[in-house]
Amino acid sequence: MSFLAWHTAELPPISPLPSGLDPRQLPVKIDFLSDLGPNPSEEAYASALVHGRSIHLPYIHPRTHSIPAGNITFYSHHPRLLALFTHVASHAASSLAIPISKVIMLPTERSLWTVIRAPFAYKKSQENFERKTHKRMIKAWDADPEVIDRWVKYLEKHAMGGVGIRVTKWERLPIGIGKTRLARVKEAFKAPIPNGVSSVDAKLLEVQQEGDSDANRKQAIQALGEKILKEELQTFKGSQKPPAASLGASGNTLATERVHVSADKPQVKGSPKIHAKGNNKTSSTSTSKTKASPSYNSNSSAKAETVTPAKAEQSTSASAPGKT
Amino acid sequence: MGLRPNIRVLRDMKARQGVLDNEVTRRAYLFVLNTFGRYTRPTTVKNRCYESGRGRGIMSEFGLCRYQFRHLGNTVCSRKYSTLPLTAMNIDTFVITKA
Repeated sequence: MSFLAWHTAELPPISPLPSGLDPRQLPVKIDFLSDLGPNPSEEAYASALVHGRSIHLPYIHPRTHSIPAGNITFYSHHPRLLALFTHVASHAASSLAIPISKVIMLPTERSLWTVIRAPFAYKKSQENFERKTHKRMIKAWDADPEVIDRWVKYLEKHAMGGVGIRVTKWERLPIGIGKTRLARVKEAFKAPIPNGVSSVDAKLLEVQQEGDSDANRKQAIQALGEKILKEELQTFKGSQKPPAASLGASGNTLATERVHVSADKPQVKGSPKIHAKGNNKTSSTSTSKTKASPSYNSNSSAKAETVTPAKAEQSTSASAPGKT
Repeated sequence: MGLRPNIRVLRDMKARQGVLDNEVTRRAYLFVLNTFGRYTRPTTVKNRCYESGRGRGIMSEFGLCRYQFRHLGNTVCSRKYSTLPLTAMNIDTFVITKA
């Protein structure tokens, strides 16, 4: 009411009605829209002659089922802009006969920054700045999703600078949607397969036909790596390093290189032996063993080898003092 | 000496085997990476104040160093400092205030 009083003070007086009009046929002149009663009809609300018509709240359509259709949240750093834009949005929804809520005031978010006043040093004197984000929300019920879309499109077209919109919409699927979707998927599985190709082979064919598949990439990288190794080995030939054998699938050349660099790693040293020993052991046991297990067995055997000479040494050393 | 090696020993064995198997591909990837120049690496990017060029104390949201941000808050964004009236065109500048 103070809002209305503020406006009436500035507006010029209303000119008298033109002659020839029957006062009994004219819309009802009232002071405040609340004088219409608790639940006025839309016709009564729209035809009521009240001062400052555009400033008043729009006609709020009664909810038919109270089923949420969507929410619109408005964000701004300036509350005046929000007041104007929410007014426009609520009037637009009322024109589309969407049952809406009144404009809901959500809590204001405040971001703070504390900054040293001086350009260099003097940490103890600082200054605080803040930025407030004001939020409003309008809830909508019962309307069709198309109507809500129309409302949102209108707001986006006439969007206001300094006000952000966030739309949350709910759409409903018919009852029994799970069954129908499952039936459709089953039908797709039963569809006829192309001639002479099983489903798995078809997939593999598709993958191979793609130029950029993982297998192709891997092969390309492998080829590049081998090329680099060849070049490096050639450069090594120029220096005093020993010549290396050609690349094999098992990568034995790398093992032999490392032997020259550091000879104190028992596993790598005995690698040819390990493979042989591992094979002997696994032939007796099941064939479904993984790659790791032969190395485990072979390493234990290698360790046994290394351990026994040490033991022998110890025994000899023990015997030596015993003797003396 | 143990008949059942330590889990850490097993992990180390796995690591050594993995290095052996993947050295070739790893060398290839590294070669490819080294062919790119210095200014292709995202680590060479550094935020700087667009007003003063300061490298430290930058606030990414404004692109300014702390002193320039303070200057902005006290002058451009302050209604007391600005002589122009508040209109729809300049309302977006008055976003930060002194707290």
